[in-house]
Amino acid sequence: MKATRRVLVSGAPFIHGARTAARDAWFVSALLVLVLVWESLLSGWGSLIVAGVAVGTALLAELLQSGLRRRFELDDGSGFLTGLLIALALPPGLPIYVPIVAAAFAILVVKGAFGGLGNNWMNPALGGLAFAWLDWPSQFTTALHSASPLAPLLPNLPHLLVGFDEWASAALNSLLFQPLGATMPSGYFASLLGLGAGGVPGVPMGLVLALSTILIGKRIIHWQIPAAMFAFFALPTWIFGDVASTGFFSGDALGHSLAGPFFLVAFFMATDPVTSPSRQARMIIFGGASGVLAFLFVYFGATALAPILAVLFMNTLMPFIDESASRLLRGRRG
Amino acid sequence: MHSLRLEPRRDWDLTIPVPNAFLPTNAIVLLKQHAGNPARCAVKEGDEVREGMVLGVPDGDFSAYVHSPIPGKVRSITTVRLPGGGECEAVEILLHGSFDRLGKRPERYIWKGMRRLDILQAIKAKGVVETTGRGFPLDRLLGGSEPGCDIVIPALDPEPYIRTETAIFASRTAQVLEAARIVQTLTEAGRIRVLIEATRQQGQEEIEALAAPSESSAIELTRIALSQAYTIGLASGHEGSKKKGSPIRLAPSLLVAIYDAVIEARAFVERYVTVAGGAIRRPSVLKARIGTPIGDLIEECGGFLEAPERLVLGGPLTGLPARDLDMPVTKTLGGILALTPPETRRAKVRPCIRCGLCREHCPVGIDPEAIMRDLLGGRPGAAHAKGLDSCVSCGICSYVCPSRLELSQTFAAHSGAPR
Repeated sequence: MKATRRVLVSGAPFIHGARTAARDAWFVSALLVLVLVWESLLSGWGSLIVAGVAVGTALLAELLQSGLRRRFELDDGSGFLTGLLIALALPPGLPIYVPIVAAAFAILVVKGAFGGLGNNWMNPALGGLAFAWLDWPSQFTTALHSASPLAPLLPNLPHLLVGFDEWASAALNSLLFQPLGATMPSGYFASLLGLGAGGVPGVPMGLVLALSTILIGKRIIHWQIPAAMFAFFALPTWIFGDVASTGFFSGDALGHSLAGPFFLVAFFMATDPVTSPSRQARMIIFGGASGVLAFLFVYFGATALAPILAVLFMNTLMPFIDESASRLLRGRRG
Repeated sequence: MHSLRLEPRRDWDLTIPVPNAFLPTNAIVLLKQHAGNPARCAVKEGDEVREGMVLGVPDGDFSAYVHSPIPGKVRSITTVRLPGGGECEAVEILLHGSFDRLGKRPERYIWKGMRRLDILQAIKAKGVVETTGRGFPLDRLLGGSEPGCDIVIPALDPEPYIRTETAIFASRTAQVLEAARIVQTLTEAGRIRVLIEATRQQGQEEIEALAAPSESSAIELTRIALSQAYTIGLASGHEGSKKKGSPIRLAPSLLVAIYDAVIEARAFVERYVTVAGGAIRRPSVLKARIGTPIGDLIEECGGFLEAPERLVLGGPLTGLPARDLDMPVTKTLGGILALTPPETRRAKVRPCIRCGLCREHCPVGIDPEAIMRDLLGGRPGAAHAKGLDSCVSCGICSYVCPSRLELSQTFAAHSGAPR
């Protein structure tokens, strides 16, 4: 009997687990598309255009850099995901060249120049965002304080959300908090559903949190980094956040983390396996330090990009965390 | 370490007792089916051989006897490329003439009346070698054991697809246990412990009935969840490991070979093989003569449903790739798998994304990711310092790797290399 056709002869194992890096990246992207759809319902075509431009630029840049390296890599999903993350983290209403520059810098410089996927020492999306912010800081500030210039798809949705927020906050206050002698300020529900401070549409953080639990359940991301990051951001914010006006222990930790891209960064960018540790203790150190830095950046720089810069800074410290941690462990054993 | 749950992929019915495969019209008997040197060829082209006649005699310490599985005529002495690399001599036998033993009532020797040395001699002369590992001769395997240590019979198959040991234990329970008694006497071992699947299988009650009340000492049954059996087995050491006080692990396939050799004075010329995988029409366990081409067995299982992507000799995690369907059954071959793309889940090899899954699942607790980086970066010394030599080649790191890096394959190529 002759050989069957084209049987592979490399060694064991001959079967594999269901997960592949590309499948994970596309899965995360698919979840983020849901976030994008919701955001566009609030802010209109603006966010869809920004997303289209960012993703398109990212894919073109990916094509260019994989062409230069003679290795087709568009199908690994990482370029698409980077573009999508940039689009979601950018405030709506920015000029169109901002997402273009951010995505191109992310793929070509942060990732491509260092050897492509797996070799970058910063998360590409974070790097691209920081680069764009350094180029046009004033654009970011004005964009953060003005609503989308385009007509919303559902013009009444933001009003409905604000109405729902007021109703839900009042209901919770009368049922739960007032008997306990406390009051919950309104605005949390609006933030969870995608309306930022002053009713500016943005990423629905409630949806981000819900989708993150799916990723944690499927073990695509680990809970340690975002949990530590939130804890170490929320704690100092609560203690020192409003020292000037109302004294210690009165900061609005939840409000500050719901505003801006904090949860998006914590769950979707800080957890990038390439640029974060994967051992329990190191993940907590990494997340915790990112949280503290984010707090410092918010309160001394007052920038909405604080979590982005904080995680970016920790990305650059990753080799140090890995090295010093293993040296400490070895020292304890020896 | 996070325990890995492997899908069993055994959704076909096992036939008990295990059916005999057709006799091969053309048997290819490798002279190296064991650890150590190939056996020295004891026949020449044109010789008439009888069933169970010696074809090769041991050459050196870890070598073993090789016997003729069928009566016939030596057609040629050829050279066969081995699946694990290298090549060896093989005796090709054309079936003809009458059987001395097939269909006749087996002899029965009362082993309790035999001297220890005679039993060991019988085991050696009948070519019994370890059936699940690299094929160490049994006398070597038992030599290092300490009196009083346990005998463990893993009557289950930890790797997906394979059901060989399960089938042997279910169809020949009494003989497996009697062989275990022989080894117990030879080595002055302590308890006999049988590991079986946690889920109830057909014939389990009979096994328990046979196992529980016995003459000299009770036999202990331990149930193991099949999904975890692979990693549990790795943690508890390999077959014949020589650590102080470690139990002697004897697979049912080895014990029936001992039974046949000592009690029925039969040479080790047949073994049980699982033929399975998505490309096989009727997956089954068959009792096949050594030297039967794997293609014949696949044919007997209804042939291929589709062209397989991978053809495997052994288990899906530790087996060897088969080059063609002419590869013969050997003493250490427990399975033949023909796998389809949805089963292998092969994907493009991509760069490491440092997800840490390999490290999380490694049963010996080394860091495959860091070792791989060292090896690819040309720092073998650093890789050895990180524990490369404790790798047991279980394949779990490569199994879980989402970037499909050939981790364990690379480690196998580098382990033992000079620092």
